[in-house]
This record gives sequence, structure tokens and C-alpha cells, in this order.
Amino acid sequence: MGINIYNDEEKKYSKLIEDLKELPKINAPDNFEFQLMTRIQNKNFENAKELKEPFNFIKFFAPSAVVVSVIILFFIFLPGNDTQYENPLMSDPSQITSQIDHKSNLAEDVNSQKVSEDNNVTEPKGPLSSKAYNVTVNPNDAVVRPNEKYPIFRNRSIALDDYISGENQKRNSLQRGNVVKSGDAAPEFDGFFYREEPDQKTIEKYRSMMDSVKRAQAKADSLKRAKKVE
Amino acid sequence: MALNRNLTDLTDEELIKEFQVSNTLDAYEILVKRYKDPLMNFVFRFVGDRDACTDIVQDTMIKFYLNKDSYREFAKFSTWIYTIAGNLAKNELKRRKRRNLFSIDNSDDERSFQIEDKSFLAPDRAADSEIKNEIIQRALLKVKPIYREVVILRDIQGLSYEEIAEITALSIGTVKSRINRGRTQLQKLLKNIYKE
Repeated sequence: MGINIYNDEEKKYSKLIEDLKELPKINAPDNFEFQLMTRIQNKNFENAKELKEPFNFIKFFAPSAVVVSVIILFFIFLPGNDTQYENPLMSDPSQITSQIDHKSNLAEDVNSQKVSEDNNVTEPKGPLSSKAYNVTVNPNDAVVRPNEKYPIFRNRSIALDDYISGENQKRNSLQRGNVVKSGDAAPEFDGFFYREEPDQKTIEKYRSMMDSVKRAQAKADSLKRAKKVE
Repeated sequence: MALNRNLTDLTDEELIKEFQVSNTLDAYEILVKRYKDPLMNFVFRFVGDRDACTDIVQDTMIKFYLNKDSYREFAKFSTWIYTIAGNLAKNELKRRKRRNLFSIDNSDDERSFQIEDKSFLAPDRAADSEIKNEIIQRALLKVKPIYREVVILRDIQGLSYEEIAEITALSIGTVKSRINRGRTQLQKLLKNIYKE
């Protein structure tokens, strides 16, 4: 039963193993057998028998019932109604749709008018287009456009490409304000202004540069003229 | 008396067969005599409590008495009885752990088995064999039960790897690695004694 030969692994722990082997042996108490035989004779097997608890439905299903009821309550009392919800990312913006509809109606009216003038025949179309035939637009009629919610004032706006490329640099402070202007009540609010303080030194520097270029140009012109005279 | 003399000469396996077939109580008693002390030693080193240990070994013997027919001849009796004792000892540890977990005051017996602060023991005291044995026992109880069991079976009980593998229902490779880890843990805990 016992093996006392150390292998290579055991050499590493030889001292420890020696000490473990030398630990005092624990013996059973003297009355151990007497107690055991008494228990056997009395059939006192309480501790030795594994007491298996009978299957308890309440214990087994209680946790799962709690979880299920919480889920049900969560769905019942969940705030909000899914049927009324409309994903704004998936639907067309209402403003643009109305404008497009209005423009397309106008175009359709004009086309239908032309067709009717050419052919003098009115062909009934589908129930959707029948409304367009009832509207007659004369060439001199004023077409009332719906108020644009976000107007763009061309005279007060700038082209961003031109601005970046350096063209159209001559702008007054109002035009500068329009670059960052926003909102639908444009006349009332003129936008934010970015005030640029003129740097005197820079102006003088550029002026002197321009003057020197002009002087050089004048010299070059005078030299050309002198050559021509010769 | 003649029968008794004959029974004592029988091997463990022959004795249990006698007990199974003829229900000879003397055969059972002989087996109890043979194994009560080794099992006491094993369970005490594993659990660390003498009273609990006596109860566990008693329960092991009663289980053996009640379930004698569940023993199969191809297994060694020693491994079978060690398996029963080991399982009962593990159950006891689990019960204690649960009790510790739910007890308000953590004044359980197990706390008294915690290893002392290593700096507390002077080297000359540590040299004393009795104290040393106590320290080793306390350190042993600090080792994880899965490693502790195999270390006790191998280094204290002196069983072979094959027997341990059979008792613990593990492969020999696993047994070896667990023994190695257990020893490493133990040596770490006892580094004041094994300064190398």
C-alpha cells in the first residue's frame, strides 16, 4: 500500500514529504468500535444516511415564477405606445415633402394645361390626378409659393467655395454675419458677427509691399519706354 | 475462535466478500479494526477537527455496513473505503463553508485553524517538533481541498498514484499535477521552515 521511493519530482519536496510522513498518527478513540456497534445494533443510521429532500415544486418553481411575473409586469406597464411611434430617420421630412408635392402639382397643372390646349381633349385620368385638372393656371397668373421655412437670401449669402478660394473677399459686415446665420426669422435676427480687429502693423506691411511692387512696376515700365525710344 | 483466526488471515477483499455473502459481522468488525485508524488519520488531516473526524469515520463505517453490496470485486477495498470517507469529509467541509457564509458572527471553529503569522514564530520555536507538526497541520488546512486530499493520501497515508487516482476518480496525470501543486502551496505556506 505504501510507496516510499522518491522520484525526481519528489526530491524537490523531500524535506516537506519527510515531515508529512513524520506527523503523528491520529488513532480512533478507544470506544470507537463499541459506539459503532451500538449504533448498528440500535439501527441509529441518521447521520450516515443521505437525507435526500423530496422534490419541492414550490422551491423549484418559485424563482422562475418571480422572473416570469416581473417580465409580464414590465411589458404591461411599459410606458409609451409602439404603434404611435414613428422613426424620424426612416420617414421623409414633412416640410420637404409638402414643398415637393406643391411643386409637382404646379408642374402637373402647367403640363396638363398645355396638353389640353394642344389637343382640346380632356382625358380623365386616375382618381388621384383628377384634382389637377380642376385647377387652371394662366400664364399671367401669379403663382403663390408657400412660405419657405428656411429662406436663403442670395444677396446676403456667399458661396462657400468662393470664400475659401479667396474670391469675393469684399464683403461688408452684414454679409459676414450671414455666413453663420440660421433660423427661420431671418429679418429679425441677423446672425452672429465675428468682428475682426484690423492689425495696423499688418496693414502697413502689406501697404509697403504693394508700394514696392508698384515702384518696381513703374521702373520696369520706364525702362521699357526708354528701350522703345532708343 | 478458529473462525476468527481464519478471518484475520483473510485479505480485505476476501473479508468483504465474506461479509457480503454470509453477512458475517466478524468480517465487518475486522475490516473496521483495520481501517479505523488510517481513516481517522486521513480525515483528521483533511478536516482538522478531531470530533468531526470521529463522526465522519463512524459514518463511513456505517455507510460501509449499509451499502456493502455496492462494493464491486474489481476495486480494492481500501480505495473504496477511502472514497467514502473522502466524500463525507468533503461534505463536512462544504457544510462548514455554508455555515460560515450564513453565520452572523464569524466565530466558527475553522477560524481557529488559520495559520499563524509567520513572523510570530521564532526559529528556535519552529524547530520544536510538536510546534512544527502543528504548523504543518495548520498549513495543510490552508491548502485547497482538491490538492490537500491528494497530498494527504500520497505523503501522509502513503498510497500509490494508482490508488489515489482510483479514490479520487481522476487520471494519474491529474493526480500527479495536483500533488505537485499541493506541495508547492504547502511549501509556500511553510517557507519559514523550509528556507532554501
